[in-house]
Amino acid sequence: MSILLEVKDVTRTFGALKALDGVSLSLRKGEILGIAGPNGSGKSTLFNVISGIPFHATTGLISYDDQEITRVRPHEIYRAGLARTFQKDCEFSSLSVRDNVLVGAHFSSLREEMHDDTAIEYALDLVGVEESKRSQKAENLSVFDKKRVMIASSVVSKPKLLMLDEPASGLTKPEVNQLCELILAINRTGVAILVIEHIIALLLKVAPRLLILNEGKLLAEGTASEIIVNKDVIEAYLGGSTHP
Amino acid sequence: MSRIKTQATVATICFALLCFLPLFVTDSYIRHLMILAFIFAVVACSWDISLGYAGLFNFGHVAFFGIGVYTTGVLARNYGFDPWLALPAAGVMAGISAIPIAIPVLRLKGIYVVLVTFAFSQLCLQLVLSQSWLTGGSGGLVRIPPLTLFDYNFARDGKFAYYYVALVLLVFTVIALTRFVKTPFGRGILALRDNPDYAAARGINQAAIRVTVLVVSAIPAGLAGGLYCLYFRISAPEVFSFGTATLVLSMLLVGGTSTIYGPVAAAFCIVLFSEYLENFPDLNVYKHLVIAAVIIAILRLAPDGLAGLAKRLTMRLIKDN
Amino acid sequence: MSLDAFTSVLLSGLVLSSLYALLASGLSLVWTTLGIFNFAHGVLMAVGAYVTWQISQSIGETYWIGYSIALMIVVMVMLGAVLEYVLIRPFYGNKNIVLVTVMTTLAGLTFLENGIQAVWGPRLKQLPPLIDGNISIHGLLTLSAHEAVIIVVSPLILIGLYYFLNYSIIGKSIRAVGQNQKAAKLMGINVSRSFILTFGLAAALTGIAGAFYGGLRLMNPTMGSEPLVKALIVVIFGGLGNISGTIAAAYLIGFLEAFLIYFIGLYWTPSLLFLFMIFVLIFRHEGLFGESARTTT
Ligand SMILES: Nc1ncnc2c1ncn2[C@@H]1O[C@H](COP(=O)(O)OP(=O)(O)O)[C@@H](O)[C@H]1O
Ligand SMILES: [Mg+2]
Repeated sequence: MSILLEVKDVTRTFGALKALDGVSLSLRKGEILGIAGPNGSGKSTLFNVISGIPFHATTGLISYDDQEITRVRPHEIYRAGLARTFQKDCEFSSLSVRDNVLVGAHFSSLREEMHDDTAIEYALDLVGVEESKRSQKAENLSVFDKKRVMIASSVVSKPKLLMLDEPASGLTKPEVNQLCELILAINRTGVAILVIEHIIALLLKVAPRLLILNEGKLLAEGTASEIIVNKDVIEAYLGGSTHP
Repeated sequence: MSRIKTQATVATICFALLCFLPLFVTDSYIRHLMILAFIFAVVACSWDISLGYAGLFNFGHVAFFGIGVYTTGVLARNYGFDPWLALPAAGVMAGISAIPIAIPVLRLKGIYVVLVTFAFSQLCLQLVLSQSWLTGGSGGLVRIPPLTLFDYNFARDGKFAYYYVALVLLVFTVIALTRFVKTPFGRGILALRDNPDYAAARGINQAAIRVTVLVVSAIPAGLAGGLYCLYFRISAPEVFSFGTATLVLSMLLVGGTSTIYGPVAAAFCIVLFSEYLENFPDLNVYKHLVIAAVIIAILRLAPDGLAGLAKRLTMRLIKDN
Repeated sequence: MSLDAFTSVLLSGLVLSSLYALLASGLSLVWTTLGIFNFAHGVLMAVGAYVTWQISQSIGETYWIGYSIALMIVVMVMLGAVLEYVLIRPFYGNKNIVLVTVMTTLAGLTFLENGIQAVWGPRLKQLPPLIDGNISIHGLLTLSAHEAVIIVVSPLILIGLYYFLNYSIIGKSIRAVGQNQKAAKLMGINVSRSFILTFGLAAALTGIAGAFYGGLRLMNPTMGSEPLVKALIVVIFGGLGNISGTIAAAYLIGFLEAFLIYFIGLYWTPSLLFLFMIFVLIFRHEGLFGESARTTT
C-alpha cells in the first residue's frame, strides 16, 4: 500500500535540549500507528512538528501525500487533510458544541461542499455526543465530551490522517473502551491514525504497529507482541518514572 | 432560545421608538444628542469586532474614525466632492488604511498591539497637524458643505434629516456586524481568540482573520467619521485625541465587549448622562470627575458591563417564570 | 551648522533627555513589576508641579523651592499608592487585566486632569527655578542654572534608582516580583507591598520631572500628555521591562529629537519618531537594547 506520511530524520531542539533527535517513521494509507514512550520523550513534539503547531522541525524532512510539508503553514496542513488533537482537552470556549465542529468544517477543503448541518450532526453522532448537549457552550462539557468534540471537529473535514495526542488521559475505564471503539470506527472509514499514549496497554487494543520514543530517539518499532518483550522498552519504562 | 427572542423583541421596539422619536420631539437639542449617540454607537460597536470578538488590543480604532472625518472633510471642502460621495469615501479610506496597521498587528501580541496601534493613531494625528496645506493643521478644516438633497438643506431643518441619516447608519452597522459575527467566518474569529493553536489546527489562517477583522471594523468607524464631519461641518484634530479614544473605549467596556448591542446601549447612556450633568452648572469641571469615577465603578462592579448585567437579569426572569 | 546653534541643540537635547529619562523609567518600572501600562503616568507630572507650587505658596516663597519638592515627593508617593489601590488592585486576576487597566488608568488620567483644573483653576502658573541665574562656559555655552541642575541632577537620581533596585533589599524584592511573581511570593516577598511601592516610586520620579518642567515652562493640567507620549516612545526603544535600556533610550531619543527638529523642522519630527517607533515594534519589539525580561500574554 502507498505511503501517506513520511518523517525523515527529524530533529527539534530547544536551546541545548534535543526534544526530537533524528526520528524517522512512515505511515501507510489507512493504517493505525501507535506511538508510546515515557513522559517528556518527545511524543507531543513529534505531533507539533508534523502539524506545524506551534513550531516546525529544526532539521529533517516531513512529507505527506507525496508533498513536502516541513515548513508549510499549519492551516494549510489541515486543509490538506491532516488533522490533529491536543493532549490537553481544549475547545473554543465561547462557541457552542455545534459551532466547534462547524469551525472544523468551514475552514477545511470541504467548505464548498457543505450546504447544511448534516455533516456536523453526522460527525457528532459518530463520536457519540448526545443531541441535547449540542447547543451548549463547549466549555461546560465533561472531559470526555470535550475530547470527543475535538475529534468530531476534525473528522468533519474528512481528513486522510488523524493524529490523536494522548486521547485517553483523564478518562475512566469505560470511557477508554468507548474511545477505542471510536478510534477503530473512524479508521474503518479509511482514515489513517497516529495515536500517542504513554500507557502501552491501551495502544495494544487499537494499533497493530507501534513505535517507542525515548529521550527524543526512536527506541523500538514493531508489532505489539514484539514490543512488549523488547528489552530496551522494558528498561526505558521501568527506568523512568512511569509504569507500563 | 428565549433569550435570543427577547433580544430581538427589545431591538425591534427600540428601533420603532427611535424611528418615530423626531416626529414627537421637535427640540433640536435632543435630536442633536441622539445624533451624537448614534455616531458614537457606530464607532463603539465596530470597535467591538476587533477588540471584543477578535480579542485584538487594537487601540487605534479611533484613528479610523479620524481618518473618516478628514477624508470626507478634505474631499468635500478642498476638492469640491459632493458630500454624498465624500461620505462613503470615508468608509473606503478607513478600510484601506486598516491594511497597513494590520501588518504589525500580525506579528505582535498583547501590550505590543496596544502600543503599535496607539503609535499609529499618534502618527495620523501628527501627519494631520503637520500637513496644514491639506488639513488645516491644528485649526482643522471649517465650513465643510452639509448634506443636501436637491434643494433640501440638511443643516437647516432642526436636525431632522441628519437624525435619520445617522439612525440608518447605526441600524445598518448593527445588522451587518451582527450577521457578520454569526457567519461561519465570524465563528472562526471567536475560535481564534479562544484558542489560537487549536484554531490553527482546524484550518484557521490567523493573518487572514486579523486583516479581515481590522478592515471590517474600520469601515463603519470611517463612515461614522464622515457623517460626523458633515454634521458638525468641521474636521478638527481632536478626533485623534486621548479624549475621544477614552470616550469610545468607555462605551465599549461599560457596555460589555463581544455583544455589539452592549456598546450601542452604553453609547446612549454615556452621551445622555454626560449631557444630563450639564444641567448642573455648579458641577462644571467636576463633570469629568464624575464620569471617570462612574466608569471605574462600573468596571469594578460589573466586569461584563451593562450587557453582562442584562444577561444576568433576563436569566433570572426566565428562571422565575 | 554654526557652533552656537550646535551647542544649543545639544543643550536642549540634554534637558529633554533628562526629563524623559525620569518619566520613562517610572513608566517602565510599573510595566516590569505590575505588567500594566499606566496611561495616567503623564498627568502625574502635572500633579507634581502643581503640588510643588501649592506647597511653596503655603510655606512661603522665601524658602528655596527644593524644600517644596522634597515635600511633594512624599505626597506623590502617597498618591501613587492610592492610584494603585483604586485603579489597579481591584482588577488583579481579571483575564482582561491589560485592557481593563488601560481603561482605568485612562479614567484616572481624566480624573486627575480635571481635578487639577477644579482645584487650581485655569490660570497659568510657573515655579521658580531651582537656582537663579545663568551659567556661561568660556562664552561658548550659555544655559540657565536651572537647566544645568536638571542635566546634572536627573542622572544622579537615575543612578540612585539603579542602585536602589539592584542593591537594596526593597529594590531587589521589587525586581524579583517583576521577574516572577509566583516565585517571589513563595520566597516570602510581600507582592502587594511591592506593587504599591513601585507605583509610589514611579509617581515620585514623575513628580520630580514635573517640578523641573514647571521651572522651565508655564504649567497647565495637560502639560504631561506630550511627555507621556515621548516617554512611551522611549520605553519602546529601550525595550519594555529594561530599566537601563530605558534610560539609555531616553538620552538617545532626546538628542535625536533635538537634531531632527534642527534639521528637518518641528513639523516632521513627531511623525518620524512615531514611524521609528512602529518599525522598532515590528522588527525588534524587545527594544534596541538587549532582550526583554517579560514575555507578553
Ligand atoms: N516549547 C517548548 N520549549 C522548550 N522545551 C519544550 C517545548 N516543548 C517541549 N519541550 C521539551 O521537550 C521534551 C519533550 O516534550 P513532549 O514532546 O511534550 O513530551 P511527551 O512525550 O510527554 O509528549 C520535554 O523535555 C519538554 O520539556
Ligand atoms: Mg505529550
